[in-house]
This record gives sequence, C-alpha cells and structure tokens, in this order.
Amino acid sequence: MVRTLVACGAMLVAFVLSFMPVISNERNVPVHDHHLDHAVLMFFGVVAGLALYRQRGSAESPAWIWGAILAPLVATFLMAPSLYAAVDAWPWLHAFDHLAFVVLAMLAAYAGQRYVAGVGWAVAIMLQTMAVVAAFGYGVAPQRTAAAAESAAIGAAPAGDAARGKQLFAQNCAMCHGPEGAGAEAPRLKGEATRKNTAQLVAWIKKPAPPMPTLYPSPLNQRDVDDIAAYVEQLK
Amino acid sequence: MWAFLATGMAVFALMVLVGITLRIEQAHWLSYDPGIFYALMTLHGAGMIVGVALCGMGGLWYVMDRERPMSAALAWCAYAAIVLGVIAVLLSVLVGRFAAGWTFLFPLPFVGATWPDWATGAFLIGIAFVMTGWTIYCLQLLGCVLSAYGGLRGALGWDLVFHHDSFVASGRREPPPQAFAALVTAIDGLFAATGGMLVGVALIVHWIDRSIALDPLWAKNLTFEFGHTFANLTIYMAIGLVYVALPRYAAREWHTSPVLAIAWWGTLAFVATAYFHHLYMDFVQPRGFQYLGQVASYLAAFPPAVVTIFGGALLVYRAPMRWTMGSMFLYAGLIGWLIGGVGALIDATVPINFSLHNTVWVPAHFHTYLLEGVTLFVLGWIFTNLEAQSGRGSSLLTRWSAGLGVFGGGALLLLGWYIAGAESVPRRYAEQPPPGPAIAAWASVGAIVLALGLAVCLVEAVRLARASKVAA
Repeated sequence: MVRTLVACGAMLVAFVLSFMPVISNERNVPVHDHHLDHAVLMFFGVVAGLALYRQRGSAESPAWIWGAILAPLVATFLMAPSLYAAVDAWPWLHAFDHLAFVVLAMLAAYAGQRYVAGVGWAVAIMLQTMAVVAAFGYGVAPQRTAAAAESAAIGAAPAGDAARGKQLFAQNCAMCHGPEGAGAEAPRLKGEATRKNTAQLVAWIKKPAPPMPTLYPSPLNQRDVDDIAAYVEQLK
Repeated sequence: MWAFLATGMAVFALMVLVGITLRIEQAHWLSYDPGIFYALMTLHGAGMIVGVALCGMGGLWYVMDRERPMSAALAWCAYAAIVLGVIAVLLSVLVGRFAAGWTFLFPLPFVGATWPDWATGAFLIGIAFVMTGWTIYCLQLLGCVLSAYGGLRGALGWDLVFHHDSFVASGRREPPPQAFAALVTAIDGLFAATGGMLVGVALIVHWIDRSIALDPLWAKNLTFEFGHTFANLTIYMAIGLVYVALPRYAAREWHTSPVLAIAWWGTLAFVATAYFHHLYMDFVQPRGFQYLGQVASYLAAFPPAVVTIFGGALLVYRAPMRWTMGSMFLYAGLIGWLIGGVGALIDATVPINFSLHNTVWVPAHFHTYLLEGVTLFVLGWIFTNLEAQSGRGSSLLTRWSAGLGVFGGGALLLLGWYIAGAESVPRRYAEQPPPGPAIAAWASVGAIVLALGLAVCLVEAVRLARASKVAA
C-alpha cells in the first residue's frame, strides 16, 4: 500500500511539475536552472520507477538491461541546451519534453531493477548525477574569475588592423597564396580562421615551416604580422 | 574471453609499433610532419588504453562468469560497440589526421584544428561508442556481483568485516578476491561512464551546434574523471586475473580476509577521487578539490600495496613455486605496478607536480604500470591458460629471450622517460629540446628490444595454442 502510494505520488508530482511551463508560462529559463529543473523531474521519475518495482516485485530478466542502458543515453541527448531555446517558445512541447525526462528516469530505474535488484539504484544515481553536474558547465559559459581573466589576457593576441593587413598581404603574400588568399603555389587561406586562432596565425607567420619564407622580423615587423593575421582571419 | 583478449592484444601490438615510430621521431632517426606525430600520438594513447582495457574486460568477464553465469550475447554487444568505436577513432586519426590527443580536452578539438571537422566528430562518436560498450560491460558485471553474493552488502563483505564470527558460523561463502576487483570495476566504471557520457554527449552537441557554450574547466574535470578512472581500472581488472592465476603456480589459496575487503573499499573510494591531481595547475579549480586530489592520490596507493603486492609476495614466499612464462609475467607485473605507482605518487605531490607534470615523467610512470604492470598481468593470464590447456611449458631459452626483451628493453625505454622527465624535457612535443633527442635515441633501442621480446611471446603463445588444439 505504501509503495503504491509512493509510486502514484511521485508520478503525480512529476506530472504536475512537467506541465509547469504551460501553467506558469515562464520563458527564457537560464540553462543552469533548466538543467536543475530536469534533475528534480528525474528524481521523481526515479522514485516512481523504484517504488513501482518494489510494488510489483517482478522477477529478474536480462533483456531489461537495455532499458537501463538506453534511457540514460537518450536522456543525456535531451539535455542538449540547443533544445532548450526551441522548447522555451512552445510551452506544450516543453511540457512533453519534461514528460520524456520523467519517463526515461522511471524506465532507467525500473529496468535496472528488473535486470538485477540493485542495478536500478546505480543507474538512477548515474542519471541524477548527470542532470545535476550538467548545470555547472553544459551550455553554461565559464565564470570569469580573476585568475581566469588573467589567464585569458596572457593568451590573447593583440588585435590587428585588417584593412592595413590587406595591403601588406597583397605586397608580401599574394604572389604565392593568390589574391585574397584564394590559393596558388601556396595553400589556400580562405577559412584559415577555422584551423588557427589569432595567436597561432601570428606564430605561424613569424616562424613558418619551409618552403614558406620567413618574413619576420624583416621585412615584416610585429605590427605588420598582427595586421596580416587580422586580415587572414577574415578570409572566408 | 578470447575475442576480447585477441582483439585487445592486436590493438596493443599495433599501438606498440605506433609508439616506436613516435619515439624514433623524437630521436631524429625518422622525420615526418609534426601534424602526423600528434595524430599518431592521439591514436597511440586512445588505442593503448582501449587495447589493454579489452584484455582486462575479457579476462575478468571469464573469471566472474565462473562465479555466476552471465549473458554472452550481452558481452558481444559490449564488444561490438567498442570495436565500432575503435574503427571510428582509427578513421578519424588515420584518414582525418585528428590530433587533439586522446584526452580530447575542450576546446582543443575545435580551436585551431589542422584537421577537417568530420574527423573531430568521428573521434568523439568513436569514444561515445567505446563508452557505451564500457557501460554495458559494467552494468553486466555489477549485476553478476550483486546477484552472486547477495546484494551490495554481501559483495562488499560487510558481514565478513563487522560480524565476522556470526558470518563464519553461518557457513556463508565470502566473495573471492577477484569479486572485489569486479565490484570496484563495475561501480567505479559506472562512475567514470557518468562523467564520460555527459562530457562526450556535450562535446558531440557542441560539434553539431557551436553556439552551445561549454565551461572548459567543467569539461576538463569530467574528461579526467572518465579518462583517469577508466585508465586506472584497467589495472584493477587485471588484478582480478592475478588473484585467480598466481595461486595456481604457488599451490596456495588467495583468501578473502577482512583486511582485503577493507582495502578494496578504500580502492573503491580513492580510485574515483584521485583524478583531481590532473588539475593541480588549473588555478581556477576550487581549492577543496585540490586537497581531495592530494589526499586521495596518496591513499589510493595503500590498499594495493598492502593487500595485493605484499599479499602476492607472501603468496610466493617459500611456496613450491612453478616458474613458467605465466607465473614469471604475473609476478613481475606486481613489481612493475609498484614502481609505476611510486612514480605516480611522486608526480601526485603538489609541489613536485608543478615541476614534473608537464614533463615526460608522466608518460614514464603510466607506461611503467601499463607496460610492466597491466600488460604483464594480461600476458601472464594468457600463458596461464595456454599452459594449462596444452599441458606444456616453455623452454628456458624462450623464457630468457622473452624476459630479457620485455624487462630489459622495457627498463631501457622507461628509464629514458624518467631521466628526461627529471631533466624537464616536456611531454607531448614532437621536437624535444636537449637532452630529449639523445635520451630518445637509447630509449628507442629499448622500445625495439621490448617489441622483440613481445614478438617472442607472440610466437610462443601461437605454439602453445596449437598444442592446446592437439591436446583437445
């Protein structure tokens, strides 16, 4: 009786909480809070799953392991912050997304227990931990502590003047890399920014691998190198 | 078991060859593009860990299946997922030249990449497949241990420790030592998979949608929570095999005692929390984690030293020991583990870590316990089974050739890293500053001698396997 009440109660709470976006019409929940909301939903799903297992007292069966494996995996993909922005605009869709978390948590705990008693607890703790830990970095930008800001400042390259860099590029680089870095004798430079960041570009221009000639410190000085790097970064 | 062992050893052998090409490039005997060096280094790291893990997984699955039968079909599913992952990683590195290192630390796979975008995706998806296979394996192993010994309480040996007399009087069977290795592998393995799955999926999502921000410190914590724990567990899986195999040669039993149970509880806790020592130099890491990393790293050393290494030495001491290829490797592996562990402890000490962690001291210690620890345990296990099945042993010449190659060559290779590390030669550099190249030259000789020793083992294993078939 108690187990039935716990299972039904947990499911009811999870159901009501799932529809909070529709009830409260709350939008643009921060990603950190959103992950924690999911952790709460999954907690009730897990409680319902474990209580359901205890109430039914079913026999163990190897096939249930798939539920214990796939449910956390799918739930992790549902935690993608890309989805949060999309579902935020559609409260009903958002509610169904929440229900999916509840069902997956319930399935993970119940299936784990049906596989071997005790495994459901392990899977439930695993899932719950993932939901909570996600709140501290998944879709959440790092907090700018003083040490982090200092560290970023050390690694950052000074910004160059891309317009001046374009002129310098035409004079010093275009004969091999082609006009606007389209590629000729030397490799094409369009999209180079996807392969190297500013600091790496500057380092490469200063100390290239053969057959590219070394143009630093003469005829190019530090400012010239920064400007050319800024220009190359813009080549798409 | 043999599918896991054969695949694991094949991957291992391939990675030995890759490793030799890396070392001889650093010695300037061979010259190739640094981009290729870093791609090969990525492949070597990922491949080696997965290779030895496969061996340990197969062996431990086999010994625990004897305790309580498990589903072979499920083990095949885990195997298939891991093999698929290995193929994806091979494609990513060999075709796409992905070179962000096997630790794929964010944002390295995405920023300043010299490889195509698909290679990053293939690598991450490959790792996700490996992790899925690992999760299947850990859940299966956990199910086996829990059902064999009456739940978590029984598997931990709780009553054996706290209600010893009544436990003995009840006539209940205590879990054998290998069951503790299996329990720790399963629980800490799932703990590792939790972090690994989360950061793995987050990186895949970031690969698809770059607008999704990830906190690099968060990602680094989770990556090492998975990576360090997974790598560490390879040795604990192999230890399960030592518990079964070494007593056969010593004609003595390896008993489960309350001390052994308590030591494994310690291992359960400290293996999961020692990884923080990888982040000592991340000054934005909360300070509490740094203290935890220091304490856990030190404490993690005691249980294996007290129970397994000292216990193994006592098991062999004055026993009517039968020295064969199998027993030689099993016992030598304990020594390699001890030496590698001391190297790890030195690096895990905060003030020393600041000087050593970015040097080749780190590959020195982990190669010691992987090459002269886990690999030897696995070789010992393979030869134990082949010797038993064929009813034959190896000649003295074969034992000396294999021993000299594996231990002599291994010692030369490892000393190269330890000495260069003490000389502050940086790690993960294609081009090392002096005295790196000079040391790499004689370390390369060691690597080649080691490979020859392993080749002798392979030939001998094939000979014994053929004899086993004839005997059957």
